[in-house]
Amino acid sequence: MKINSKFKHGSRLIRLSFPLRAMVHKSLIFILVSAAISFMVLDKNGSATIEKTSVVIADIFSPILDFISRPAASINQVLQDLDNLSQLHKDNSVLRAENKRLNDWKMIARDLRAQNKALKTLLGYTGDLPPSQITARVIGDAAGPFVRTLIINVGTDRGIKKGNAVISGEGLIGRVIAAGKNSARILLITDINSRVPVLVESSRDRAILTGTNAGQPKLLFLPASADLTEGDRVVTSGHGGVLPAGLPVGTILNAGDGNVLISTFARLDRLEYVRVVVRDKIISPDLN
Amino acid sequence: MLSNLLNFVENTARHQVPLMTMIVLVLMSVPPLYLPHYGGIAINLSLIGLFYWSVYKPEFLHPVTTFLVGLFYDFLAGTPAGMFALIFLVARVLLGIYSKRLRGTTFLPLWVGFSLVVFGTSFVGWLACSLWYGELLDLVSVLFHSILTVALFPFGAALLIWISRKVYRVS
Repeated sequence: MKINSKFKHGSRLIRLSFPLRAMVHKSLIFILVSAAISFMVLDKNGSATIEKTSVVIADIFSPILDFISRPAASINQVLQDLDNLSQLHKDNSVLRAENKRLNDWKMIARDLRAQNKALKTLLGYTGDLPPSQITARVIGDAAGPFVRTLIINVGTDRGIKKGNAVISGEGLIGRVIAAGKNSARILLITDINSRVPVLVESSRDRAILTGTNAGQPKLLFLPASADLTEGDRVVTSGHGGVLPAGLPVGTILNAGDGNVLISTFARLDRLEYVRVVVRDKIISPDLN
Repeated sequence: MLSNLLNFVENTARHQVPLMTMIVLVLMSVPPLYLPHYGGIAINLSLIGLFYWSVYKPEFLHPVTTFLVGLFYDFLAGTPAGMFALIFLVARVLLGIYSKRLRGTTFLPLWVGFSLVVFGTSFVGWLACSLWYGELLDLVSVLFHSILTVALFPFGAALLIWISRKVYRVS
């Protein structure tokens, strides 16, 4: 009898605990969903805590990411070397012709440099300090179609700061948006959040280069009177004082109606080493 | 007493295997592969782990764990904080409801189930990001991202089955 009543009491407890557990489980899910939405709202408002946490996590795991990325980087290097070997003869001819052309330009450039120096002295011109460049390796490229950012293996300990321009051998690839002690996150120019002040070299028309998260970036806020030709070079304008002026970006792909797309010089899908242009931001004078 | 302690440590370690494997899968998803145009469709391997453990060991993949892994992915990948935490959480809850049905099936229905999860989470991610940025993202990239992730499921699942057999000694 005692045993039966004990079982009766136990099963009553079990019957009671299931609904209670379900309620606790549902409440927990609700709390976690609310927490996730709160994180999103905080991030949207530019919370410094979220940014700092992201930077710290990237810093902690950057040595592991560096290690994991090395096999793929080695294979990529071997494939590139094989590709270069197969094109050796053709590249050799092209390079000889280009060398000859550049030698002619070298003499012109020397004359222009001397003229430039003389004119600067005459006008008392004070130019920008030449920026320094730090080479870094790409160790992270994860977000796929949702965000176009990279993680590199250098940070504030090497002088990297938020806002520094990042270039490859061919041209601009993006800018630093967060910098930790030994890693930094770069926003690529193809990201939908990216806004880079540029100008069309030939016509000097100013515009803003913005990404689309896929394929080629486009130009916004072009003047209505802009006279563009396919193949025109686009460079950074330096407006805003964040990015240096004159960094090559790309060429105009289509100059017709609708979106003006840019073909970037830099191969954004095969970046292994990049250079961070370290330069202090130029602050606009206070007009008061 | 020592054997009790060892048993406790062993049981605790077994409980953490899903979390550890998911963290490893997140870390393996982040480094670049240097393939042409890969960056725009980079896969999220942790979805394979989320699906597998939600179906086969849901008791070891607590919603809090799922939330934290999603948040970890957000911070490493650079997506809006909380976005994949929310997506993973919703996927975990839905998989928890259908896990018994999926457990008793062969590989092909399981793969189909995983495809639905991937396409569903990718679509939700696309929608969330489009709302976040105030502009529609390219859907083709999201489609290729999903297809690639689905294609890698057999390999990821094979690895997780092997781990499961070693750790939990199941057939």
